[in-house]
Amino acid sequence: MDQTPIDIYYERSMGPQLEKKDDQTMNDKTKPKPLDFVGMSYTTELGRQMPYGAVINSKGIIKRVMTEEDYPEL
Amino acid sequence: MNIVTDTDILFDSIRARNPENILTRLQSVGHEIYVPLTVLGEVMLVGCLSMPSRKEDLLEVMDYCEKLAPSVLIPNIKLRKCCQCIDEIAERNGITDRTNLSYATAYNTKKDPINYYVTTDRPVVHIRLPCETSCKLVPPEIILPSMLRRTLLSK
Repeated sequence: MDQTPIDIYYERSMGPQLEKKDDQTMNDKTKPKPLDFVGMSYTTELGRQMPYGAVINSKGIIKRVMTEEDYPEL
Repeated sequence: MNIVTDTDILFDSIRARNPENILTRLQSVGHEIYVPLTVLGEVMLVGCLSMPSRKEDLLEVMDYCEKLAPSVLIPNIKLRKCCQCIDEIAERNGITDRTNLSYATAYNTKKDPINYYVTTDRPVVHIRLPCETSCKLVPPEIILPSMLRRTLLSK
């Protein structure tokens, strides 16, 4: 089956780490939230999806994702 | 304690070629070392573009980071605010090394504070960060490696 733009986006942003299941389309419910990125390899695409930042370990794995709650002063 | 390091400290650590260098020692007693992305960028810049070439230093820093396993801080929304705040102070104090310091304040949260920013840049040590008034946060202490050694490693 041909890849839709959403499939391409999903693949580029998640890489092979999160496998897309059959018939699963990415919408607000299925789209991973920044906190779900913990444990994944950092990519520039994931970086864009973490506006509050993240701590990356020396192996390039996302160790902690910062959220709005970390920054009540903003 | 959470400690953010400046670029010179990383280079000094490899120059020392000493298992007892400050970052290794801090980590061995349980402190967490953080490296801002801009520090890694500076290491890359110096390593790749310096004349004479310092590619060997770059490889040594890479090897050292593999052993030290520091955490890396990436840019975030708070960093923009911190850069502006620190720019204002830096203008008055003639400080040039601002962005690395801004990473330390940008990742300083109530839940998980950054306790120290370690640098060899003496003028930076004397500035007073405005975190308390602008964000109601205790700012990281800006400290020279010798002082940090005395504070955390002298026991």
